[in-house]
Amino acid sequence: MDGKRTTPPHPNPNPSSAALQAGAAAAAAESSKARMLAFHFLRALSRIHRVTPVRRRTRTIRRAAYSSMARAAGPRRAWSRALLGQARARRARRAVLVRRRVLTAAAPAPAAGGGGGRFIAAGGETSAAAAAAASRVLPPRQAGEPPRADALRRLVPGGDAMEYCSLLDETADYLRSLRAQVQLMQGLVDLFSCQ
Amino acid sequence: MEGRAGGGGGSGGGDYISSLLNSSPRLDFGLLAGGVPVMDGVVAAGADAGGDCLDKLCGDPGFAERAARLSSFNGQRYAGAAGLFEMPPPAPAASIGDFGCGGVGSREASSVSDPASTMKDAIAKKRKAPGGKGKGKEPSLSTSCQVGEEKESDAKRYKTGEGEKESPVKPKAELAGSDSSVEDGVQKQGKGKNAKPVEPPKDYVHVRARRGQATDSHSLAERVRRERISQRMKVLQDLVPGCNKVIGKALMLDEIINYVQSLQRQVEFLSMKLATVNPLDFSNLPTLLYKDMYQACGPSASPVFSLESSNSAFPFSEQGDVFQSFVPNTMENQCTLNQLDLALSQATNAQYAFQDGTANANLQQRNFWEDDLQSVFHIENGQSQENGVSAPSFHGQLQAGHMKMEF
Repeated sequence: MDGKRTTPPHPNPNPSSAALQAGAAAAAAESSKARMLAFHFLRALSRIHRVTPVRRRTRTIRRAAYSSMARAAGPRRAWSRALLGQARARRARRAVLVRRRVLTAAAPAPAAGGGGGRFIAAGGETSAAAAAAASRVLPPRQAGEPPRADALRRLVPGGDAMEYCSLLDETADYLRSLRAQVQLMQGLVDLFSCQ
Repeated sequence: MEGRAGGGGGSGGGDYISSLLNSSPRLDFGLLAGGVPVMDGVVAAGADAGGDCLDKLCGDPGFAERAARLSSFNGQRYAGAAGLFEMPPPAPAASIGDFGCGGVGSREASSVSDPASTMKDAIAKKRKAPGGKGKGKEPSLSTSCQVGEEKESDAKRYKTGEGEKESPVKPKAELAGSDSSVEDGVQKQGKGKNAKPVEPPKDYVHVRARRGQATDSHSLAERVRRERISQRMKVLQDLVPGCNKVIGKALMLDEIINYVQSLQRQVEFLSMKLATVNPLDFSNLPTLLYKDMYQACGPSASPVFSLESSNSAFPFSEQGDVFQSFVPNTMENQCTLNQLDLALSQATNAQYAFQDGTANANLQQRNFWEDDLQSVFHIENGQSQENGVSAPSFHGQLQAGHMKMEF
């Protein structure tokens, strides 16, 4: 442990390090935004692999992907704000449920009961949110937009509250970020699958 | 990887304006780029356009071009640009006539013809003597403006000679014609034309009413909006592959929707694949990534990264103030970092909640993480001075963290 403190950036003895380094270098592209993306996503990914059980990883990784996209894009964009807001709300809901479980069920097997309760409650909340969304009145300043625009609104996060013009703008930025994220993830998959 | 092209779509209008205005070095429009809220579709209330504005603008040979392009300013309000142009928000329902010497007379929608005529006069004057007055100084053109005002009837005769329909339509269309003719005149130095060529479609800042089109505020705003939408559709067309063959808004929209859906499905699929990736590989990634980022970003950014990384393992509350104090302004978004803090704090809590049930393998991996963090952190220690102050405190926490881990 003490030796590590004094060593300079340690050359990795791991034989796969070269590939990893190349992959990391490739992932950290010239643009700072791509670097931010890679940084956030990789850190989240490593945490997920440590923490999350396998059956729930896909969903968590997907959410981590969107969160890292949103963080890399910054708060200037409506879609990134919407994504981060969703993630925060989800965490808050989960924290509330966990607390509720801990308080009420000071009982054995908290994981099964609490997990089930969490899922049910989360499902109920999301259905309520969906119902609220369905009954939401669309903003009225959409005279000239085509009827397909609502499908786009559903796709782009935060798209419900925008005008058509800004929806197109946000879609463009969202597409760029999404493409960068997909490239990053594809690179990671290639990296890890060739080991 | 694509970076942000052109400053992002959010300021697309401003970029266009700035590019337009920067085309002429004579007039100082440098500040305009940020301050012009163009194309908001907001119809302004009243015009205060002073005569001196037109002086400045007339002084430029490229004025006619820009006048044509910037004619969309009519329907909108710019508080920001007003000071710059010395041209406050133009009148509603105003045609191009309000642009420039609109303030000479009226500020109401009904009296469009007056400022329009003065504008026309100025342009007519310019057209008649583009060589001399086009490059003239401001005082000379101020006189020309006033002269133009006096010779209103003259200009009106000139304008009516072109055979227009009605007065509301007249100023705009005539001005359109005169604008194009002035352009030609400016470019070809003195060739006057009575013909009214079809205006070529300018870039989307410019809104010019064609012949027979209504010029009221609503249709103007609509037109502006439509041009904005078409411009953004073009941007999207460049982004979405295979969209070039498709023409038409509806089909393009379908293509875009399909593309977004396919990308989202790809994210889902790749996350599924990543979920089954061998987790032991991750132990080396953070180090490499930090090193790479350190080399690429420079020392100013990396302390933040290292601090963030150490945040992920340590109780957030102890480090909160130190972290905040060290976030450098060179980082892209302070906001995201704050959100990161929140995320990390909650992640940390989750981690400690899970710690009871973790297997040995996880603990080992976490120790890998800690070791990497330590090594990275000490790398940063040696090379940046900012960390020097907080290093001792972090050292203590590092050890405390390790002690926590290894029970």
